[in-house]
Order: sequence, then C-alpha cells, then structure tokens
Amino acid sequence: MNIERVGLFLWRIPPDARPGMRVPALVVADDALMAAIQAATLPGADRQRRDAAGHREGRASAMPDIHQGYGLPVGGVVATDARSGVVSPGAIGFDINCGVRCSRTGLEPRT
Amino acid sequence: MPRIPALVDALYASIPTGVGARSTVLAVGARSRRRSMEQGRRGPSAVATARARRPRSGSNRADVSPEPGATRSPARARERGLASARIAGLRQSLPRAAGRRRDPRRRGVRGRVRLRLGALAIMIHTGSRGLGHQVCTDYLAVTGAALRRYGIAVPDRQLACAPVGSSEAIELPRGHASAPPTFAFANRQVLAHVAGQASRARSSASARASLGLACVYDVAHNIAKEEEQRDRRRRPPASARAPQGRDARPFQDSRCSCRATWALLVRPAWDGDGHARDLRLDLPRRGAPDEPDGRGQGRPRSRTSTRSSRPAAWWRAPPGHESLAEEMPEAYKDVREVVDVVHRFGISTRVARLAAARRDQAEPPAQAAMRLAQRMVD
Repeated sequence: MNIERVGLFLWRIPPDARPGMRVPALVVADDALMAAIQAATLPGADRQRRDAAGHREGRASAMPDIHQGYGLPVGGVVATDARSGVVSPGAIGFDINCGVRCSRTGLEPRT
Repeated sequence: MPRIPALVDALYASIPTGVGARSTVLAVGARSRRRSMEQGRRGPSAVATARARRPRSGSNRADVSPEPGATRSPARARERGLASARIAGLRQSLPRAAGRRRDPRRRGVRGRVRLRLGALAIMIHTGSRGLGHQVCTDYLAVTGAALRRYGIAVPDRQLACAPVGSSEAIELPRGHASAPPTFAFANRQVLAHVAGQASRARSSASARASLGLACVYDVAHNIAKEEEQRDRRRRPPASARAPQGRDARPFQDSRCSCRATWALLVRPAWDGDGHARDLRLDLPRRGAPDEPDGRGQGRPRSRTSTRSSRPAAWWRAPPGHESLAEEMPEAYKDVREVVDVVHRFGISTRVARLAAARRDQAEPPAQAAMRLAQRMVD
C-alpha cells in the first residue's frame, strides 16, 4: 500500500492509490499505531481508501482508533458540501448514539 | 463515605445491565417511552426523574433539543426503538477515581469540569442496539434504492448516499439526528438519576450531602450534524460543510447546552485548505482502562471471544456480565496510545484520566491520591 508520511502523526494515502479515488485519505497515527493499523486493519484501511471514492469534499480522514467497519471504517471522518454534497447513512454508522455519560460526585472511597 | 464494593452492588441492583435486562425500579410505559423518543429530556419518563438533579451549572447540562420530525424515523425503527427502550442500556457503571493534571493549558478546563483528585465519578454507557441499528439499516435501503436515480456510483453498498436536498436526504437526518439521540440522551439522564438514588441510599447522611452528582459530559458517536465551519484566517468564511462519520463531534446540534463546556474542552484546528479537522473530547472513552490492554485495531477481540472473559477491573461478575464483557477494556486497543496521539497532534487537549476504582481502594485518601497521581504522570 502506498502510504506517504506527511507529518509526525499524519500519513497520506494519495488519490492515485486506487482507481476511482477522488480525494486523498489522511490517517492520524504515530509509528506504533500505524504499524498496528497496517498489520491488523488492512481491510479497514482499504475501506478508508474506497470511501475516498465517494462524493466527498477535501479528503477522507482516519483517527488513531481506526479499525474495520461497514462501509466507512470506525474512526473515519468525511465531510460533504452542505449545498451540493451527499448524506450517507453508512458513513454515519450503525451505533447511533451509543454513548457515555460521566457524572462526578463529591464522594471519596471510605478509609 | 460509601465503601466501593457496596456502592457498586447498589448500582448494579438498581440499574439494569446487559442486553435484555429490565429495570426493577423504573416502570415506564410504552406511551412514555415513545414520548421520550420524541421529546427527549422533556418527555415524561425523563422529566419526572431527572429534573431534580440537574447540574448546578447550566453550561454543564447534557441536553439536546429534538428536531422537528423526530417521529419520522421508519416504522420498523420506531418499533425496535420502543422494544430496545425496555432494554435499559447500561452496560457498565463503575465508579472511577477522578484525577487532574497540572498543565496550565488544562487549568480552565479543569475548573469547568470540576473533577477532583481521588473523588468518585460514575460512568454510564448505553449501547445502540435496536433503534440506532435499525434506523441506519432502513436508510441504507432507502438511499441504496435511489442511487441509480441520482446517478451515484459507490464502490460499496454500505456507502449508499443521497444528494443534499433530495427527499431521501431530507428524511434521513430526521431519523438519524432526532429520534435515537433524543431517546438515548434522555435514557442516560434517567439512568444517572437512578445511579444517584442508589448512591444516596448507600451513603451516610454526611456523604449524601456531599454526593453532588452532576454531569461532566454526555457524549455519543454516530451522530450526523450540520454546522457552519468558519476559518478565521480566511475571508470570506469557508463554505458550510456537514461532518459525518463515527468520530464526528458527538453533540446533536448547536442547541446542545453542553456547548460551553465543549468549547473549552476542544480547540478547533484547521488544515491548509481551511477544512476543519475532527474535534474530539479527550476524556477517556468507553471502557477506558488504567492499564494497557489490547493492541492493534479498535476491537482486536471479537464480541464472541470476550463473552467468556472477565475484565481485570471486575471483582465480581455483575448481572448481564456476558454482554457487558463485550465492552471490557481488554476488547479494545490501548486507549492511552490513542489519546496520546490526538493530544500531541493537536486535535484536543488531554484533561484528566478516570481510573477504575479498585476494591482494595480502602486505603487512606492521601495514599490513594498519590498512587493515582503517579499513574497519571506521562
């Protein structure tokens, strides 16, 4: 896979890495995470490249926790133009509003 | 002050945990659940329980205003949503010791978050099975059927999409951005209230007075939102864009009253072309461990393989532990490594680490605090 390092924590998959890609894909990761991504999540990275072939603007991005998902990989981010772009349910994903609420207390463990 | 094992027992006794569990303390009828989906916190099931325990600061409230048309999600999704509403979605509720850092950059954020070293925090994680999955499935079918009509070719049917302004695209955000999140935020608020009740019941009078349960954050992923992105270095402003994706900013819309806190917890960054990078809250995400665990992809262990395992942080198996184990920290990659990269890359600022409370944490607070602080040092 043709991946260029463009920063300490930034990698770029050029748009000519795969036929049909229209924009580059960026991956945010350090060396260790990138090695793990390449070793363990090639399908996810491949999906990130394929996603770049869609009707997106700018580029497709992958956060350090990227891993394989349906369509867009988990940890993937894309942007479309709000006037001429598209809306993609698969890009949003299935785990809609899976979330966490953190509540603080004034309690401390008993001694 | 409560003993941690007793407090954990009380939480698990009060809050249904695991897929299929039902609450023994909450009796919410189908009509109320439907209204919760439509009206969120203003719905009857949420209002009755949660109003009394709102955070002191309005800027810390986790609340969303439902979009008009919240009931327009497909019928099947609504049915599954109502069914899943009976599955109270708490999977993990562990009190965690809160810590803070001394980096000056975090001083303002710490003041807003008000996490105190050594104090307990309660994390409530709710899943999305049922409603959210069905909404996505339904709209994938809708957009997939419309691809040819709009002349859109995608390499994967899972990436089916519809043009902004089309009937499919107009209906889709209403289903995505309204009903599931509205219900889920209300659901977590109710569960937080129940957790507070359980905590008070197991606390002494003095501890009850200092309980002060207040929302630090309420975040969710898989949220689509439309927002105006303005590049301050450019005139005129960059065009409006609609971030999508599983790491898109988690709050539903600009009316979310968490906005003030959110603005403090992240800082926008712009790349050379004026496109906003992803913004992310840098507090630990679900299952954030205080010890290194899995490496590699986000979930290196399958859901099936985790069901026979026991997370290191558990000292006893709670009800519904088979499905809870799917979300144990060991099932995910090392979250510290991920947080470190987003912090150093400048996407967000690391604020605090919440470490799992241990059963043996019955040691003097000063020692516990020192131990926690040591663990939090980079």
